[in-house]
Amino acid sequence: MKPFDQDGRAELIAAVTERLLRRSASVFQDVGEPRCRAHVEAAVAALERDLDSDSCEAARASVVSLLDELMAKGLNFSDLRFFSRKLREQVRAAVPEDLALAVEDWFYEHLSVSTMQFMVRRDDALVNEAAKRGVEHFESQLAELEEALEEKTQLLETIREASTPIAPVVSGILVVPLVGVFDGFRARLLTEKLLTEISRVQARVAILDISGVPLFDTDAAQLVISLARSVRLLGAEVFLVGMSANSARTIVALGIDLSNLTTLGTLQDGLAKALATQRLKIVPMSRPRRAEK
Amino acid sequence: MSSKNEYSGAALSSFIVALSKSQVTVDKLLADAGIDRIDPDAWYDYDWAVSFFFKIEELLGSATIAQVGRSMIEAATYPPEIDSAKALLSGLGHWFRLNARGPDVGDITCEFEDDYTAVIDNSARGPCSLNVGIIEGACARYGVTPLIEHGTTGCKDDGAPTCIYRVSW
Repeated sequence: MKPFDQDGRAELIAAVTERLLRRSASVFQDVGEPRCRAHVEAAVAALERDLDSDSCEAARASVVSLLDELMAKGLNFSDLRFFSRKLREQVRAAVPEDLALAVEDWFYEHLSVSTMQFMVRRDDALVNEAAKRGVEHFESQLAELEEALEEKTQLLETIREASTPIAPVVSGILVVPLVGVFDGFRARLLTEKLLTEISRVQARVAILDISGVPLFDTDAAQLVISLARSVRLLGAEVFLVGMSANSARTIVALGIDLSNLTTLGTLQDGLAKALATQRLKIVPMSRPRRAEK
Repeated sequence: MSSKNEYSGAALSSFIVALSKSQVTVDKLLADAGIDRIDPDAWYDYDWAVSFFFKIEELLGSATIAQVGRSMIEAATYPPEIDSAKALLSGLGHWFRLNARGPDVGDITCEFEDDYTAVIDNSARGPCSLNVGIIEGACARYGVTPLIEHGTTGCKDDGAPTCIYRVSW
């Protein structure tokens, strides 16, 4: 049995549509008359189908369709309730008495489904929004950390550059005073710089002064041995000077073989030997002649 | 009627009292404006007051401003005929006009769709979150937790002339 005749149905749809459009600051005004009418028609058609089949399947489909379209455009819960209420008012006034109970059941189901579907979507939107904010927060933290890391890396690089000077003291002789911890990174940096400098100035000797290195252990020794091998390939030699008594004891205790390296006590010793290999020596300057009276 | 737009020192005082946990920030903002204390009996430039509200929101977040709105309305004194959330929501415009004066300070209007649904149109300048807090506070004073939904006609925070709220409880 049809709940409405043709004219009654059209009047009902027009009345609900008109009422929706009069609702201020609502999504119904935003989407306009054709879309409002389409949703009202869909709901009325769903009511007719469900009354015919004694189910509420069509009501569910019409609610889902309404929410899918209008929630994205700002439909809020009061709007949804308003839609359901206005539709119910008009339908109740239009249906015959014997269908009133079935219609009430349908609207109860319609409102339940609307509420549940609305809450699910709103929860989902809130979760997504929270996740989005979380991601934005982490991204901004990451950007700050990357910036800080970049600054620190540059600073560290500057410090390392400054702490690995290579001084060309005499033609063919380079002095490399090491200060601070001598680690793998610094060894690589020094090897690269020293080999470039040896090639550039045609150096024959590089004096490595380790008196400023607090801990000269197995790792540091291996790094120096490796550095010396590379230097030797360029036809130059590494003199290791400034080893402390502690470091010497440690190297012996650890059984590290430095016999392939020339080791000397002090920088002066190293410089003297280096000069000797160049057939040079340091001599006092001759006194200036006294002017004759 | 005042020819200048002004905000009451009493309302500003209650705003600042509600921010007592962030006193250092408030004091700094007031000092920046050359104000060492708010005189509850004086009137202050409306634009300055509005920018002060927005600055507080920027520094302390919208949740703090909403809480301040709640505290302001909950702490205020009302005549005995205001005895329900509905009555207080109806009187929000009156409350606002006691606290702001001038030709261009905006207004708060309230219409009821039924006994438990109100449409509040707020054209008073200031953060949207403060308005939401005020509505929440008006309802909370009478033990009501409302559903407050923003209308689709835009938000003052984004430059719209008015914020419309649909309040259900």
